[in-house]
Amino acid sequence: MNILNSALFIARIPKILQGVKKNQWLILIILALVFLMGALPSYLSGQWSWTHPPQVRNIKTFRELEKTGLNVPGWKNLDHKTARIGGKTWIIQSSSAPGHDPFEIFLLPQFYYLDLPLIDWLDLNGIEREATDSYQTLKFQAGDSSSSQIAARFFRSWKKDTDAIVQWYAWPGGGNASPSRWFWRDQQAQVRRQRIPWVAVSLKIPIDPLSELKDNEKLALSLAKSVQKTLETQIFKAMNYF
Amino acid sequence: MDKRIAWPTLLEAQLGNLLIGGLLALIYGPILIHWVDGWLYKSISIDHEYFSHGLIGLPYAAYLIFVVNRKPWQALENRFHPLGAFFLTLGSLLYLAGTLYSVNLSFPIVLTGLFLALKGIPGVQLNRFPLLIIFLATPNPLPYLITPFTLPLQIFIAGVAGFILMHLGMEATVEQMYLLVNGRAVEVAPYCAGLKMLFTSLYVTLILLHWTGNLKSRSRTLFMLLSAAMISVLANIARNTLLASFHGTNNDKAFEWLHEGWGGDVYSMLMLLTIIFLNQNLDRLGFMPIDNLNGEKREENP
Repeated sequence: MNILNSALFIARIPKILQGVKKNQWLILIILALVFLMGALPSYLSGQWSWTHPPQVRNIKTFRELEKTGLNVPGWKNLDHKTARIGGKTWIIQSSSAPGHDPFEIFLLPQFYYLDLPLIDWLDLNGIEREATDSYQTLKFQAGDSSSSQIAARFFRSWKKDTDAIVQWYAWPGGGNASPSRWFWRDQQAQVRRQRIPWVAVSLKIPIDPLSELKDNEKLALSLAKSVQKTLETQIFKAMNYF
Repeated sequence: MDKRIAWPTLLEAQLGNLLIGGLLALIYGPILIHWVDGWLYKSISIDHEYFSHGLIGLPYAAYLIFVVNRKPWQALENRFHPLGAFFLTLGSLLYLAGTLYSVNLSFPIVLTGLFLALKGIPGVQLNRFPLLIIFLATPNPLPYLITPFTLPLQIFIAGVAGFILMHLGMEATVEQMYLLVNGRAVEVAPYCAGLKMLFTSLYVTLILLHWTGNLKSRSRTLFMLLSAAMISVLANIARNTLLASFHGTNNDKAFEWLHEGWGGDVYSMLMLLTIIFLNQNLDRLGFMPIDNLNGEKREENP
């Protein structure tokens, strides 16, 4: 009896399939492709790509940076420490370049692969609560390849002393002061199962109290370029991003 | 004999829909479980929790699609719209891209494509509200991307909360988004600016308006959405005022209760109840939607 039923059922299959309409077939083909290419491999491996973003390659290099500080060729590192600012560990070093007063470099690397650039500029301002003005964008290229385009925040900050501040998120081959620029690049990289590591950089350059920001642009540019170039040739290169 | 035929007949009539439903469940089941897990157990990220209103919205959307709109859907003519193929392809590519946000976003896009491919534009029109609330519950990077821009709101909340505390006789000072009470500072951080509750209250208001049939009245909808936004901003000022005063008076237990404990849930419930109460009583309070009033008057005085 069962065999008979089964045989009857099988005989009816072509008729049953006729009940599926043309547009339903189209949808079924598309969904079946998505299932076979996108979902089935994950079911078999138990690994879903969206549970975690990919790891950042050689992220430990940032811990080396924390230990040694950034060694820009030709500059002297006078002091180097770490401090908690806004719940994050910043590297603060004071350096001097030939012919200039010593200045400070604040670095916040992506220590953990889930760390995101957030409101780090605000956190930095929060510790000293200095007055700021003359906000501008400082655009520059770093390295020999003209592909490294950086757009940094550039402004004046004062309390007792006056400083020119340059801030940007540096990544291999580029940089921008806005977290969203990094975010979209990182999203594109994630499609290729890669990541874009980042380091928040803030340069604090002492300037003459009465001087305009524009008069200090050249100095700020040359220091910022050197920092980005050193990050690329030493840190990001050690992480195999070049 | 009848019983034996029933199953194959159902299969014959519904085979296409059953297969589509089965594939959809296989493709999107795991990511939907992931969403709900992240909302219930806060296991993904604070940005993901911005969309926890999906816990209400997704079941409601399913109820609308499968229960309320089922008969009207079946009554619609079977017709294919080319845009359906476009949306389906776009959604598939986003799914295959495999990042959290692209897979998330592919869900409402594939659903839209599905409706278009099955019943054309009328299919999307019929289910446009469920589609909207599914889309608004789809976790996207907006909460992360707007954090650098919430500073004015933070400063505003800190300012008003400080003003209230001063008038309550406390020693309060405000410095930008920092609120100092008796020398102890509370920062109104971007994620404390109340945007999550603002999103939630607007979303719940939308569902409430739909549920009570008031969504058709434009003035009622606008009034309720604006009220919900105001209620959530005011509630958040109250919350930050309380937090700062608890912190300033060294009442750390009360601070933790409201900040991390179930005090936060009580706060959310009170706020949503206020919105529901407002919606229930609008008619009685005499805030009848103007277009409805006119309609009724015309009927009374022909």
